[in-house]
Amino acid sequence: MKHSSKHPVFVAALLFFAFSFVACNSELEERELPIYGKKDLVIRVVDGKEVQVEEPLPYSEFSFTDQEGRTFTQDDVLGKVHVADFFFTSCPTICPKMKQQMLRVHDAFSHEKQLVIVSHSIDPRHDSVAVLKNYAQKLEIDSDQWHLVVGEKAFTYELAGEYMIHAAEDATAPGGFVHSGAFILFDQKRRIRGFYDGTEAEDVDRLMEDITLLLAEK
Amino acid sequence: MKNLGTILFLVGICLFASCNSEELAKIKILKEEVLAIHDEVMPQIGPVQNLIKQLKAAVPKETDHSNVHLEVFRPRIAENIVKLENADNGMTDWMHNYQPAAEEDMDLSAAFMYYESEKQRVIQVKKDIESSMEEAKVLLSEIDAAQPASDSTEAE
Repeated sequence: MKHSSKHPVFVAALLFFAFSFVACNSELEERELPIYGKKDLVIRVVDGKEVQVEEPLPYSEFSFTDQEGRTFTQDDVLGKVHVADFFFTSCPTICPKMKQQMLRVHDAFSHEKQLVIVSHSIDPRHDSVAVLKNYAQKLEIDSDQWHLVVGEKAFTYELAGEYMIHAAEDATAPGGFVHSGAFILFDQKRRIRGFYDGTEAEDVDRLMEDITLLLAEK
Repeated sequence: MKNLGTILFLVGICLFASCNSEELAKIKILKEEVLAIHDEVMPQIGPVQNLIKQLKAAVPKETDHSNVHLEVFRPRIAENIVKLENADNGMTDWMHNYQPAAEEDMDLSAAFMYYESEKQRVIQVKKDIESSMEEAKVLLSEIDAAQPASDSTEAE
């Protein structure tokens, strides 16, 4: 009799934990990342009917060269999740931290073909393809996943401005956001879903969680 | 006598250590000053690029004969673009050459001199950027003021 009186409590506790576990997990799955960007109303056909939908305006097309001398364009990121930052190889202050943190992301998702990392050099004067290749080799990174790209300086700054202007919607970022150490997360449709401080390990932890979330989305 | 010797030795070490720590503190402050100036300059690079772009767009079209009065600006635009680009290059060159890691191979006074000279160099970079930007803004507003009234599309 003593044993049987314990069972209901035990079973109840088990059910409670199981319920919490499932509830917590489904909360995580239901968590949706915001979509940043200036939005426009466009007409889309949904279930055969024309509907007005708010969609973010697309970002400029680009054509850069990566550390292997390959042309790298927006077609190389569409359909995949990607993380972008803006750096240069001879940066004296925050870049070592950014590099360290981006390496964590690279290592954590090392076999994930659906994730691409794009580090844009803002110093084409010094960061030639050869310099970028050497830098990549020293870091021992997978060049098919982490592209160090370089292009025309003015365009690179413009593109950074297109992306980063939305960071200011959230944070009180002062000017100079182009080289503020921000990591930007894009989804498979090249929409910005998050901004993270690439010099802070905790914020990069959050980035990695969000990457996992996006990768799970169809 | 032995004790006196030991005491003197220890006092000497303390004096040396405190001297060193004073030097180290000065170097630390200097380094921070250098990076603070760097942090002030970096946000200007985007606007510098933007001004270069605006100036290039302001170059009068050679085939547009109605803009003959804007020809006077052509050489000034060219000169200012060069100044802006040089200032921009000055900053990237400074960053490229800045080697705080080299401090490890220097004695304290050499390290102090190194950072002092880097501070002066980056201050000059800052001045070049600020002056070329100021000139660009003045030039662009002069060009804007010189546009014929019929070009203005503001009246709607």
